[in-house]
Amino acid sequence: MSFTEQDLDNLSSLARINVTKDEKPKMLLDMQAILGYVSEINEISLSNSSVEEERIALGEKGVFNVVREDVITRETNSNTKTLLDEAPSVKDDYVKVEQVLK
Amino acid sequence: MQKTLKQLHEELKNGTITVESLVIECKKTIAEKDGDIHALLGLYSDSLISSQIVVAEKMFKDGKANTLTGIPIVIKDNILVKGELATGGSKILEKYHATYDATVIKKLKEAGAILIARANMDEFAMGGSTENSAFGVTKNPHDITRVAGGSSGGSAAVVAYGGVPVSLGSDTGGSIRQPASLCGVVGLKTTYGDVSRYGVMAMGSSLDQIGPFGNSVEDVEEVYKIISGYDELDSTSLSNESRKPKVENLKKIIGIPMSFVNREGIDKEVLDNFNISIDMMKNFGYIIKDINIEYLEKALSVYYILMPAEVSSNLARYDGIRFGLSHPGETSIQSYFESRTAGFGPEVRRRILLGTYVLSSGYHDAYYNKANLVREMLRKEFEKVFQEVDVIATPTSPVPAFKIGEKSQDPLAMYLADIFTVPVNIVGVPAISIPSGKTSSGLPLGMQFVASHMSEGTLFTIGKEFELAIIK
Repeated sequence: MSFTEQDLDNLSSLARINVTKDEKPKMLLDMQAILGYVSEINEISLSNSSVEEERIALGEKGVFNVVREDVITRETNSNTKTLLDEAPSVKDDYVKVEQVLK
Repeated sequence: MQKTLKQLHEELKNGTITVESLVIECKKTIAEKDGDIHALLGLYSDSLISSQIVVAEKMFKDGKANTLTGIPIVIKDNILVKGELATGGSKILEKYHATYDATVIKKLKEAGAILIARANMDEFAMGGSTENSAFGVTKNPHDITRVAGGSSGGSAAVVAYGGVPVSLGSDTGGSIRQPASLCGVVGLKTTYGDVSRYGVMAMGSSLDQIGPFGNSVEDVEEVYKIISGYDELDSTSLSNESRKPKVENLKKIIGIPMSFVNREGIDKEVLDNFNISIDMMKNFGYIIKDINIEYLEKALSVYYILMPAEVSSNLARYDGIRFGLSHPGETSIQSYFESRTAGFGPEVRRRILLGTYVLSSGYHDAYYNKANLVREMLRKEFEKVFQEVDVIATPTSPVPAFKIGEKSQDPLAMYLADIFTVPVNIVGVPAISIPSGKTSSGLPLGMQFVASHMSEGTLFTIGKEFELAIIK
């Protein structure tokens, strides 16, 4: 099990989270320790048939989508102000963001 | 001795006390004690408190009061109360006001309960000590140099010091039961899907459940009755069909995974107390059965794969754009990095990174999929055991309240403190932690009982007997 500084950099960019230079050594050690511990599940050998059985069981377990008719249940604009009040940056009735295309 | 909810209800009903005087008394205790303990992040607005007092008084006048009417209650700060601050213990939501009521809050308001204050917690419920709160640690009322446990440490501590009779917390891997144990109060983790999660900040969506704290099993049961029930706004809410009450013929058998409990790292006083407590249950006619659950030892690993995976997905919503803390960067992508790095504490960032790792291409099968299969095996094993026993008993925590700072620099050591509580969330069954005595230095200890799906009733029955056994 090797978790490298390069791995940490890749994850940090995928997760949109910076890890500062000072934090890096400890974060690296912590991640290695935790991943080292949880990797024990790789020692469990589930025979192919039992794996297959569980896959089927999972499907039968009543995992289903919960949906409703796509109808408007609220009055238009009834929540607009409440929600916009929480947005960091607003212009008129819109949430304002940085320019995406330059 | 604290008054029970039923005693308070009688006094409110016959006019010995009024709702207002009860609220004033609670606020007074909080003002006296919370400075040292820091169980709370703040009181709810005067307008919310006074409007609920009016609701409660009217319910008494109209003869429509229930056991929770007029009762002051504290809410963990990851549960939304419309118009009120809800920080989740995080800097990223320091100034966030909830835009709607959680279903449990709607139910409490309708029951006439008085929402008093917001409880401190580990940031986004990630931790076992409240040391990860962005707003400072909650101290244990029994020894202020020690932690109150977590993540619902504030909810446990405020009940323990007598600030309110009951409170709400949330439990993803032990976050209600462990602080209840460390603070010497009762804490209930409900069956997955029993209490609506609508309006609780999502952490590990397949594991999270809301549940109550109280001074007794009976008090916790009273709160449970109000907050449980089907909710169409929660897609994992159990249907009314699957809630049909089970016939409760107790076998009077308690299962104990002996080798799992007698493990390295368990405190000697915890183990001794556990054995004495179990002996007391024998006096109530219970038979003790050693049980073997093969995958129990792997539950912690399963948990620390599935939970971070769900965390990394759930916390993607904190983007600094729609709500919460925003630190503008040079580009829109840069703004995500700036806001999330400034807003999240170290443990939250660590878990997001971990979750990103176990879900990433090349590792997904080895970690996430494998963990899901082991989870299913474990669920099956539990089902089988519950055909033979009423409940499974373990200590709630392998150690009593530890010193502030003792484990905070070693995340793996902190995770190992969840060893007895985590399997319950993996399989989605209910469990309760009940005070079982104290260590020689006066720190509370707790007994955990685990029952099968929707068998909260069994926990209440056995829990009440256990309370009697302990008093004797």
